[in-house]
Amino acid sequence: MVFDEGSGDTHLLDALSAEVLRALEEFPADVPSLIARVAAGLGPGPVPDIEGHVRAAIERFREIGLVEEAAA
Amino acid sequence: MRLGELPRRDLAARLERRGVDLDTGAFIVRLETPIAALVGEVQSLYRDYPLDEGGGLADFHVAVVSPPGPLGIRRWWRQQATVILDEDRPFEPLPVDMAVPMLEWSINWCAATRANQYVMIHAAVLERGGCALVLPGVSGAGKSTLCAGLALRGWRLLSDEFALIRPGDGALDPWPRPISLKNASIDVIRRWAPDAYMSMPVPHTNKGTVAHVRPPADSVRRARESAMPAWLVFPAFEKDTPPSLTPMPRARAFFRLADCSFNYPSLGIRGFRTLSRMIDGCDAYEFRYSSLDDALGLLGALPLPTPAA
Repeated sequence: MVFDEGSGDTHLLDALSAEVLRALEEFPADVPSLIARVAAGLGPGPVPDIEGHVRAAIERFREIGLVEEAAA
Repeated sequence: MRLGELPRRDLAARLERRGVDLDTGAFIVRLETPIAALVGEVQSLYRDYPLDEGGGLADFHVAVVSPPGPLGIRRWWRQQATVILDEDRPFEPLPVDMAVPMLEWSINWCAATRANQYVMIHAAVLERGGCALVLPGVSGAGKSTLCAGLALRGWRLLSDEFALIRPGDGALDPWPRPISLKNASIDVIRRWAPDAYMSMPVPHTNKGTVAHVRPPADSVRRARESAMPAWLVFPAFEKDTPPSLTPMPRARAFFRLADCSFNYPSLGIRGFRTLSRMIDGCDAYEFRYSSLDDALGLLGALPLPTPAA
């Protein structure tokens, strides 16, 4: 679960989405490197369509205001 | 001194002139009323409560008075009662017969709208063996019936309406007050505990017929003893249903709990951390029941919680 101090909303995340958010919390990243970091953090087991999952999580986070695009 | 030790005439005089400060555990409530019909019920329901004679500040000031009639004079025909909370009159006047439920609802309202030093959950709370059982629930879930049933058979009552969670350490502060029963629950509890004192049932309130059960004296005596939450049980009364106690995932319990909170949305990260800690330290269940005997047996056998990984 995660609490957004900006909006006061509480969100329930699945394990993979939580990994994505945790990775972004450490430092900003572009999508390909974020996918690589999340995949590395998950270890050797097979995770189907990790790229699709990470991209969907980022999109959802953006919609609810948990992440934003960093200035170039 | 306890309220019940005051002779009725003295109590009536004090209630009318300067009020009495009741030590109800989490809060000191200053109660004033000139309504004679209310004095007897106050004396009976709050018999075991210590009077705070220190002359200090009360947390809530609740006055139940008769409003003037249309010509500005007190009327004796269809007499009404209204509540003054500090300087406010937040409720419409009601017939004077409803003064007891009105008083109780008003005290609840004070806490629900002001006591933001706590994370407040709409829940009954009881304790046994140092572990607190929290029964959150919307009206009609059977929370108060279950609460009265357990409190009158050995569980310590902390509250029938409010789980008052301290953000600092997650402990639950007791606020034992008269237990509010509605409609069919009144007779259920009369049969369950014929010796328990219950106020005169008041029909035709907006919740139906309402009566209040005096809390056990031991629960009032221990109203300063907090307890750590151990079990979160979401009750649902279902007639003629065999009892079932089904473990609930912690994440779902968190959101159910937040839904039952009076002030979670306004407390920000403090509320989130407090509820998270509570969820991590408790086992959560959904509980369906149709008889108090079943409930007493099942809830009395709850295992100690397994802390979250």
